[in-house]
This record gives sequence, C-alpha cells and structure tokens, in this order.
Amino acid sequence: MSNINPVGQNYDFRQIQSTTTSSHQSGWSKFGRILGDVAGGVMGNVPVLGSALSSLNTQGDASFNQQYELILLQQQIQQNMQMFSTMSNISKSKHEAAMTAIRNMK
Amino acid sequence: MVNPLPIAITTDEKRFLMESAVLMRDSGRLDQAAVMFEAIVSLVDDRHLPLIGLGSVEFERGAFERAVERFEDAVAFAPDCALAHAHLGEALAFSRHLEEAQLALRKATELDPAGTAGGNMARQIQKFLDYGLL
Repeated sequence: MSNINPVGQNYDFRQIQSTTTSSHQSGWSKFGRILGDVAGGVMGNVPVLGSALSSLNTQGDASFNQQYELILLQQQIQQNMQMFSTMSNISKSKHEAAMTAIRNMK
Repeated sequence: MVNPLPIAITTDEKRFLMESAVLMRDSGRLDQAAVMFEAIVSLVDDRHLPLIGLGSVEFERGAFERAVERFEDAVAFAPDCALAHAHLGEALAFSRHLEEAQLALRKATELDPAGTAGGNMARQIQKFLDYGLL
C-alpha cells in the first residue's frame, strides 16, 4: 500500500497547477487547488478502502486488492490529466478570443 | 459614458492600451489593470471590451458576483458579443448560477459558431461544466 501513494503524488493536481500558474489566485487556480484537495482526499482514502476490502475478503486476496487500488488510482490520475487539459484549453481560447477582439477594435 | 478627458486617441493606441491592461491583469497587477480598464472605457467606442476586462479582473480576484455584474454591463452594451456572453457564463458558473451559466454559454456558441471570438471558450467551459465539478 505504501508504495502507491508516492505514485499518486507525482501526478498531484496541485503540483501541476503550481508549475503552470502565476502566484495570484484566479477562479480557475482556486478551483485547481480545490480539485487537488479532492484528489488528495481520494488518494488518502484508497488505503482505507483497501483495508475495508481486505477485512471483507477472509481469504485475504492481497494481490486482487492491490490491483483494484491501482485501477482506482489510474482512473483518478486520468481524470486529473483530463481536467488539466480542459483548463489549459480554456485559458488558451480565452486569450485568443481576447486578442482577436482587441485586434478588431476600431 | 462621456469622455471626461479632451483626448482623442488613434485605433493603434486603443489597442495598445487594451493589450497593456490585459498584460497587467495576466501578470497579477490587478489594481493597475482595473485602473487602466476603467480609463479605457471612457476612451473607446467598443466599451464592452474594457468592461469585459474589468469583469475579468474581478474574476481573477475571486469576486465572482461582481464579475457577473461587469459582464452583464458588457452584454447590455454589446448583446451580440460572444466573448461577453462566454465570460458571463464562466462567472455565473463560478458563482453557482449553473442554469443561467448554461444559457449564457449556449448564447456565446450560437453567436460565434466559428469559435474564434468567444465560441471556443464557451465550448471549453461547457465541457468543464459537463464534468459536473463546478
């Protein structure tokens, strides 16, 4: 279990945000932090979920639980990357639209 | 709004002022950006653009309700401006008025199907809303 969380931290949304946004807090950067906290919460809960599953499974199928947790983690990472990509696209389209409007000023 | 200053500026100067204000905002100097956008409102005919700028400054400050007011001013001044509707939709979404946000974003995409003048922005925000996370 303990070898899973460091992998999650490599893709922590807060880290991505901190390397790609400036220091002031926009709506989107605030949202990013919130999203990061949610992701962190989910990551933190993965071992708890694992413990619950283990206690249910009296056979103690540890490898099944580990695989299940990895799948959960992969889904979370994929979702975070998708969110980041969408936010990046919003910033890009925002900037382009603003510049187009300024260029068309009379 | 009446121009309080007896100043006439060229189109290039207007664009330069707007770009400077946008740069101020994007570099986090929000107070200076707001002052610049306020001044530009009285200098240009396309007042919805500095009004959008003022709204975006409020948005950056996290004052989403005040941002909505500014963007509504911009929409009132230029009802056919897709960019104003897109920004309004974004601010409405962040201030938890999701139904109105959807309407504003839809309006933006209708007004700018090509996407270069705010339609793409609206579509991207719409995509984000579809995640159900705002």
